[in-house]
Amino acid sequence: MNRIRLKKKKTTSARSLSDTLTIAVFFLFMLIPGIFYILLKPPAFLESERRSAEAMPEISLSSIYDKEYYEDFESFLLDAFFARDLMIRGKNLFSTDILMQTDVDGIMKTDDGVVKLLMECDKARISETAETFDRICSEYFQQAGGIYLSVIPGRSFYFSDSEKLCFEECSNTLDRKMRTPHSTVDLTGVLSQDSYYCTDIHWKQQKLLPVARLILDAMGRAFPPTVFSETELGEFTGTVGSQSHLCDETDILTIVTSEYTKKAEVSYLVSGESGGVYDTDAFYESYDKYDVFLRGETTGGANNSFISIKTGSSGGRLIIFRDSFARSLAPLLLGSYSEIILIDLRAGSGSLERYADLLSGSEDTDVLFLVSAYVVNTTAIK
Amino acid sequence: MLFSSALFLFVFLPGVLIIYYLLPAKAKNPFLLVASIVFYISSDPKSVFLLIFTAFLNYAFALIIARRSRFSKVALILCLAADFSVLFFFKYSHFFLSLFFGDSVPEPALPVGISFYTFQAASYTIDVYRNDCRCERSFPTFATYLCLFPQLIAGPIVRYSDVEDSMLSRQRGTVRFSDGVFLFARGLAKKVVIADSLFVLGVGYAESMQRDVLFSWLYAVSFTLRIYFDFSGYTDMARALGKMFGFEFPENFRHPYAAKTVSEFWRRWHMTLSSWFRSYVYIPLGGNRCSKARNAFNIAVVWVLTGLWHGANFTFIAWGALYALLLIAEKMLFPALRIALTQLFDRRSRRSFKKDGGRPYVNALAAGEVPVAYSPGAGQNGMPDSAEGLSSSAPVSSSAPSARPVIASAMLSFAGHVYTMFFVICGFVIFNADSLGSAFSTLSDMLLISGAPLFSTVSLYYLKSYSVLIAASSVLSLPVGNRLKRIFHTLVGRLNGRLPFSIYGRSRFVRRLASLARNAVRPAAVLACLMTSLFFIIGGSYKPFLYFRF
Repeated sequence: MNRIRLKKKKTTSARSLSDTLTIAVFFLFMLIPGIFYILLKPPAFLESERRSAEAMPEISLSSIYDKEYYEDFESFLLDAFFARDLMIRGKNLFSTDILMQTDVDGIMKTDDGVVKLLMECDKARISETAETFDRICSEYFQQAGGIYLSVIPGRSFYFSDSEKLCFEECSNTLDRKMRTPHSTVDLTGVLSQDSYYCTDIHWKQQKLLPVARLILDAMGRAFPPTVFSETELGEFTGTVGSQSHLCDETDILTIVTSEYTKKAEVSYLVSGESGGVYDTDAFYESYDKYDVFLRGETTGGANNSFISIKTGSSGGRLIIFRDSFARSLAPLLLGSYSEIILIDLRAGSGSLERYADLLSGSEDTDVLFLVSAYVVNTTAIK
Repeated sequence: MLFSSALFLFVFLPGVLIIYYLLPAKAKNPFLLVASIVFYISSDPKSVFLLIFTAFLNYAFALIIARRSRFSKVALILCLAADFSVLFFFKYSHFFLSLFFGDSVPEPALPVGISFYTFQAASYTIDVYRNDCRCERSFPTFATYLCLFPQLIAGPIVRYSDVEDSMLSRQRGTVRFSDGVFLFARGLAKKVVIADSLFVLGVGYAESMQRDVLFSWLYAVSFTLRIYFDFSGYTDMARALGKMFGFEFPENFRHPYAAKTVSEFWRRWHMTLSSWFRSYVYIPLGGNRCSKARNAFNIAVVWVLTGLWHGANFTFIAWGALYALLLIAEKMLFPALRIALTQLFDRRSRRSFKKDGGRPYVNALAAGEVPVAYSPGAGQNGMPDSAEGLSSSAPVSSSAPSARPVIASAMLSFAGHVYTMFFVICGFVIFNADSLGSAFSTLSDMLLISGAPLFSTVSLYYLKSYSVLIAASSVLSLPVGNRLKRIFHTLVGRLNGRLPFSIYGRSRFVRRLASLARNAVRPAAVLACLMTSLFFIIGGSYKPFLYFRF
């Protein structure tokens, strides 16, 4: 009898220890974040995500009534969580390593870094882009020397057959839907997995000489006889790598200089500012290191969507309708044109009218629509 | 405020729990009421007065009903009319008026949880009228019951009789609290780790222009799993919070995807809703103690109403009607099928199991081990009077008969399982569609009617990416835990007798170590669930619960 009682007592005390530990774990889980919220100053900017953090909302009757207060408070708590990056990394690694998911939010982990996936061809959006290109050509470039189209494959093109098929579908759709007579430049043969950064969506400038040569050949222009030299600016983690929290790898940003890049004069037409082809300060100051090339899309809020580069060479004009990829390619084309104009259509083609005189096409003007498959598939170009 | 939000987990819940346990017993109910109102305001501040009005209306009418005067019935009718008029106005008026006047009819904003708390309030008033529960004289106590935040906005539908004793005095203790913590951690992980990960596949399907057979099946299966993990995860958390505050809320899910008939599925899925319809609609209509035609009519009424309860859309009506048809078909066809299979197995069993007297299959059938063992009618096999598929007190499964013909039974079980899951999956396609057209389009892709290709690179990609998650969640949706535990104990028991040494060890050190390990299992499991959930909450897997829109 005593033995049974003793055993029961032992079982109860064993259960009791387990229960106590369980409750302790739960309270620690709930209270530790609260302690950190009180002790630590909330961040103003989330570097890895390239965005401002939500500030603690101010309470008011109207904000409670509109539910804004609770929603903002929730965003604040999520953004100010003391180990936010670690948690995001934990989630992404759990998804890829335990649930064996191929990607997290469209980003796939590879042996050497990460790669952003194209996933699927958005034909409707691509048709819209083709219509925009046709409209621009009919309004401004009926007299142009040549109209060229090139779709830039992403790094994912070199990772899987499905991505290859998807890129080809995007590229062919744009080519087919664009009714204006044009020549297509296929870049897939001169690029490889190594042509891209491992943690960023962009291509490496030092790997683009074959691309520049191919495009100039297609346009009937000679590749400038000059010496290109490479300068390493330093290590960086690209936007895809830092946002995915999936890799520890870094890339090295290298710029390619030549006599043409040194004497080129760059005018940012919207802001009225001028400068050089490379803005090396951006490497140290900007969160997006690719802003080194032609200052990025915006500088301190200024819009850099219309850029004119006077090259000091002879040989006509090149107008590139582009996305961010072209910013690193343009410096390699300088020797073959007297002026290169870069227009970012993501800002909208409506503002083209302001620069109509710049766009007047003539026999010595080449027009290149150079867009990446990512952009053409995910961004409305109107 | 969702249970999986940082605001709830790190601000609201710890604050409420700490204050609750510091307060004297008398102040606990009023405090819970205030906390529940704050919780509701965070979700739907504009409708808080409607909630309080519903509470007051049912409280006041219940007091009149409890006097047992000649006005009791009138009071009940008036109260129910008011309850369901409010529900009809907010949830269904736009749907029905737009049928006649087009989409120009303004749509009132749906108050959060209105379907749940209206049904709870109505059940209380009816129970008071039927004398099935005590009439609550204190408005704060009744309002606490109706507004109690764990079950306020997404169930389970708790009847007053379930908690009336707990409203007056509640038991406390580490065992109950620890059980609550374990259930909460499990529910949280179900919601944010599994359901929200499956949600991404659904979004991928919705945003994709690619339609093929494989992709449609992936979508349908993932949604079927997602809605279970989402809703049962929420219910686990609700029940867990109830335990932490000393309440015992009824079970709402019992591994529904293990069902071998549609009827069994509905005895395991959203049990409190099924139970509500059984008690307050099906049985008052006559249940199954009537003619077959009348019984079929009763089933149809209940299931169309069940469909409508989920939302004002033809898709929900079609979903309910599908189940009505299946349940009526099971009721009409299964008895004949049962007799046929019993005779068939009886002959086979005589050949195969002579030692057992030739009736093992019949035993298996009678024990409810195969689909045809489903009890279709009142009083048969000792089943209580219940609606087909509606929750009853009958056991869901029973122990295996001693001479079970394993292969035949397993094949029948498998066939029943496939049949049930096929219709459950197709049903959820209708349930989740925007319109009947879109539901039929997906179904025609799935069933090879539309001529869609079998697969594409996109669907193969999703298959590769989600196969582990789908396989794992499918296994976890079945009662594997108990089976594994049984197998483990059997294995250890057998090994222990055959090995030259005791597995549990003789030394005090080994015994202590084993005891320590046993003690650590639950806290470790809770920690693992909470931490993984935290990864997903902070990592951005933060999505509203599916059942909030009902």
